Amino acid sequence: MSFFDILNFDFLSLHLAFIGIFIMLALSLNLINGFSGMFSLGHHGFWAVGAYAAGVFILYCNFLPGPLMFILSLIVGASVAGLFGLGVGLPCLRLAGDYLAIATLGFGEIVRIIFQNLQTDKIHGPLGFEIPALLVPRTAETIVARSLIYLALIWTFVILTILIIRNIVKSSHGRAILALRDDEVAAELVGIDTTRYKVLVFVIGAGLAGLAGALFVNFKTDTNPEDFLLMKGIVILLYVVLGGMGSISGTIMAVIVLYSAEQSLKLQLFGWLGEDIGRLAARWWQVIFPLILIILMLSRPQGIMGKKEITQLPLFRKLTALLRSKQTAPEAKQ
Amino acid sequence: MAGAFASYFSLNYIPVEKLNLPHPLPSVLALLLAFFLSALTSATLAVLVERFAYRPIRQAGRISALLTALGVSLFLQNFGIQIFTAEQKAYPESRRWLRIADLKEGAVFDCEPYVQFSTRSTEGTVDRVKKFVAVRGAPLSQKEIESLQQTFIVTNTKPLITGFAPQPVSTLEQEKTFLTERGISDEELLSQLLALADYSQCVMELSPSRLAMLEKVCDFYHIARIDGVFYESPISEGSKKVLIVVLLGLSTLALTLFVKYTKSGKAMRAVSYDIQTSKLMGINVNRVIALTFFIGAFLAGICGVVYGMRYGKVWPYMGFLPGLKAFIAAVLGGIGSIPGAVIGGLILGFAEIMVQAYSPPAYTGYRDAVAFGILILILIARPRGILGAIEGEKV
Repeated sequence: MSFFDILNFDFLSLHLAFIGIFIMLALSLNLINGFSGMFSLGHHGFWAVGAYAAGVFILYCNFLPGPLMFILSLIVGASVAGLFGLGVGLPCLRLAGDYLAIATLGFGEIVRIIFQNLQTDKIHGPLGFEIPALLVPRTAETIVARSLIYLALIWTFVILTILIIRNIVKSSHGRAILALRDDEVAAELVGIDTTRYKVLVFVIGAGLAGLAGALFVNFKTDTNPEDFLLMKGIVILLYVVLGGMGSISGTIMAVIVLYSAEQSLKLQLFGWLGEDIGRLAARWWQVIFPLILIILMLSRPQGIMGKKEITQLPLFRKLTALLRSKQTAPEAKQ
Repeated sequence: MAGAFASYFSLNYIPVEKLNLPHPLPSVLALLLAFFLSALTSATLAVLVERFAYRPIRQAGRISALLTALGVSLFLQNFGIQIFTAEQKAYPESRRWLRIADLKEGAVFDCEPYVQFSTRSTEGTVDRVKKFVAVRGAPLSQKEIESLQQTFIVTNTKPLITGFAPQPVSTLEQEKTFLTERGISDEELLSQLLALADYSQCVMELSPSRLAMLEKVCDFYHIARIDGVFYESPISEGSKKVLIVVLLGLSTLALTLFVKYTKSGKAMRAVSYDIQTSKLMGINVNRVIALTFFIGAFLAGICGVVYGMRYGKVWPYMGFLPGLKAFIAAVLGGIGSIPGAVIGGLILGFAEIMVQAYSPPAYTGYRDAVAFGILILILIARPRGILGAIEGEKV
């Protein structure tokens, strides 16, 4: 495939939708890992739980009109995942660093094992399940409409997620969470209820991941446990680490950059460099991306943006100041 | 994984039989060599990884260390997939070799003995092929022994060149005329020879007359008498289990003695208590940590061989789940305690098998979930593990 083959609507809309979902996942993980300083390696577990909860709801309770079912499935997915966040967060309160990581990793694996073995009349174990398209049926004529509607919905929720996380972080609760990250013992001494905030962060992070899962299932009507493997979880973690643990804009940038890189390699968009290089790169992506993680940790563990947002960069400030002065200057003249 | 694959290649490709040792020794030697090479490979890899990936971030905190370790593990496993392909390779648990001279009439083999040779396809890929020369369970007759003594491995050492220089590659017709000119008239022999590509081999039974014919073209064919047969008699399940238990006992004993009584062991314990003070006391912390990784990976390599023997196959991701369960076993037993690790491992293995055995058939896929369930339970109930010490937190 050459570079210009991608400039068609189907392709772009599909990948933009997935980018949106991954941004939601990475942001919710950033809340747990980056802003609160905890270390969860099982975020794909919450994603899977939300997706399967929404799927089960749609498959077994399908007695309401389409759009209403859609909204309800989102609520179901997010709530069930949030409950699991409570279930995972509570026991893991007194676990530090690596123990928490392995415990959450274990949780992710348990979820995956359970879903791979789950056999009911509509869910076929490792083959996953298929739900009816709720909002727009999947036919050849409606494909453009479907893509547009789902793109709009997904990105609405992405912006919602960004707003939620930003507002949490900027509030007093956010300051408590940041204190929790910087020094837990000192935070306790100052009177912050670390238990409450740890659980809160887990529940909100898991809930947002579940929401992303429900959207994912609705968009991609047939899913299977292969979509929720540990490798996907590590990729989401890599998005967070590359972008900066503690930076919303960094995470968004990292998702866009890494996801595009991965897809371009897989589709051999660099074939113009030479066919062999294209094929080689596609095969070796699985080897390259953990290498990226290692090199990142060795050279720049704070990622692209560290703990700062893009709005804090001097360049950004100069640009906005310039725009603002251009607005006020004409008024001043009058 | 690295160790298991190293031993896989060692068992498959190292010709222990060339040493011509008396009967039981070659297989024992092959096994010892497998263990040794596996452990050495793992340990070297671990020391390299420690030097280049872990040492630079030693100061950076546990999260960086864990992320880097995760990256290294994925990198190595995916790299293994690229090199070895993701398919599961059958593990050649025992390769025994018996000399032709030692073959007795009436001998019964409990598995098919074979002769191994390599074929080469037109694209140039080389395969090792086994040709079975006797039947399992049936007593060896004198005729079979005689035919074995007349079996040779014939190698095509040069492409047949007809005419002079500018035709380096010959066609089958040219080869056929070349051979018949040299006096090989036997149709069967001719067809067998023509089937050989350059440097490939086949196993032929050659009567004395055919042997004489073939020796006329001995410039182009290398004729080797078969001097022995391989047979992979499966090591009995019982002896495998005994081996595992013996290895467990030996390694626990060795490790405990090492950590308790040797200077390096004491240095290791000192470094685990307090790195800075150890440095002040003159302990070379870098070397101690490298030694720790060496020993750990050494044991892991040995374990890889045993795993391959026990489960019969090796593949690049074989170590992922056992590695996680090893961590769970260590946590269960108490991090920092060697007898704790042994107890944790035994309990975890036992529990997993019990759950698998006594659960209804539809639920057998859940056995891995048991390990993680135990992890979460132990972390809630007694985070320091069974034999672990309470670690105070310095504020």
